[in-house]
Amino acid sequence: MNELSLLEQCAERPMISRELLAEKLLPLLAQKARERAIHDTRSLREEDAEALLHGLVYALETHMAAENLPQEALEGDIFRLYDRALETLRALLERARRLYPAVQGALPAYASRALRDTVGSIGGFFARYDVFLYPHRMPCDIDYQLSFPVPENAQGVSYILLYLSRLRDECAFLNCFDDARVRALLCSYYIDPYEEVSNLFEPVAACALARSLPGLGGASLLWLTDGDKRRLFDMQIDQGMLRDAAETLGSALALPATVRALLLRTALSLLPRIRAARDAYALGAALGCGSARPTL
Amino acid sequence: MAMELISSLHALSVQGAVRELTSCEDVLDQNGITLHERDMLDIARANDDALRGRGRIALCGGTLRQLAWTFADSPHLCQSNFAQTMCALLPLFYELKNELEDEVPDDELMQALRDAFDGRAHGEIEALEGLSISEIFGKHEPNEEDE
Repeated sequence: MNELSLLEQCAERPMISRELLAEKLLPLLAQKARERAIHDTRSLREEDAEALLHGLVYALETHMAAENLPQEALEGDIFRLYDRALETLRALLERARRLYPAVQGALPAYASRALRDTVGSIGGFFARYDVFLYPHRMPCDIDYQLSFPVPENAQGVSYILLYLSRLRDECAFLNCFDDARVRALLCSYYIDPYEEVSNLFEPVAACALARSLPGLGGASLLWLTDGDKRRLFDMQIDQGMLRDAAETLGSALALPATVRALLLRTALSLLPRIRAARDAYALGAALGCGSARPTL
Repeated sequence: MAMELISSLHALSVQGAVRELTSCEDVLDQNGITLHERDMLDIARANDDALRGRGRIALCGGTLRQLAWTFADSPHLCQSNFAQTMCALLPLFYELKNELEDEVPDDELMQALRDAFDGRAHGEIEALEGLSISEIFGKHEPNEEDE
């Protein structure tokens, strides 16, 4: 299991029992209160304690997930464990920092306002992120929706790293296609793609996958004619066909493994929509092609 | 999540309070004060109530010990009123911590309370409770006539 998967897993379920944490965290919390420059105090307001505790728990859980440590790790020197947890967070931060310019550079020319604003805001995250006191916080605005959201419970730098990784993969896929064709497809799908906060990858991937099904002629056209829609409707698309289409498309575009995995996940997620389509036109819409014919 | 932890921390702070009071027996003894088990439990409970009531949690203990040390040699306190005064001081102390947004160190605030208790309040806890922050810190509070 890779590190990003572990971060996702960590976000989805707490790894440390709350009783154990409460007992072990008091000395750490006292240290954090001093670091926060709360003058020589033996008690804290609950909201301050809660914010500091949140950060401590996030740091420890992230480290324990990344290092695959058992709960027993908490029985040892908690200060030492916490120091290592900070090292883990710093390493994740560095990874996210290195990934950021790659994502900036990969934004397609037709990127929406929400996408541009979100990526710009993540730039501010690196300046404002507080790894010592509030590492669970995410000082930036994420407006742009990914095709598969980062797990809801992901926090701090874990969230940003997962978000950037997924966005990089989405952009890598989008950049395989001619800009004009993508714009045309998006304009048929959204009223105003530039002002749209919804995901740009999803309709493009759906259409490209549909065109990668047998007899459709390949993904580069990035549009479904009425004849294509009828053919697809008659095809009785099943999970195996979508899986094959994802594989075909991944090979044709020479996509890296992470993008192929995203494509496969997208392909499989299309099945309920395909099954729900009552006619060829509804199926076209489910596969990324709106009613308006694209103008190149 | 963190609120569950806060509840657990409250529970831990009660357990530690009695131990903490036991540890200052010597200082109290020098001033003719003996805290019986029942007094300690009353103070521990008052501390817990005061913390919860003012939305605070104790960190690694020490508040009760320091407060006892600070007030032990007050000329207004003796065996008969020490525990009761401690119970009344705790909510006042935490209330001031909140009002001062933790900007004043514990020891400084306790000393200011002690000085005000012995001085302006003449050893009356009700009078101490009625003082403003400026008065507790021994500052002259300007009234409308002064302005």
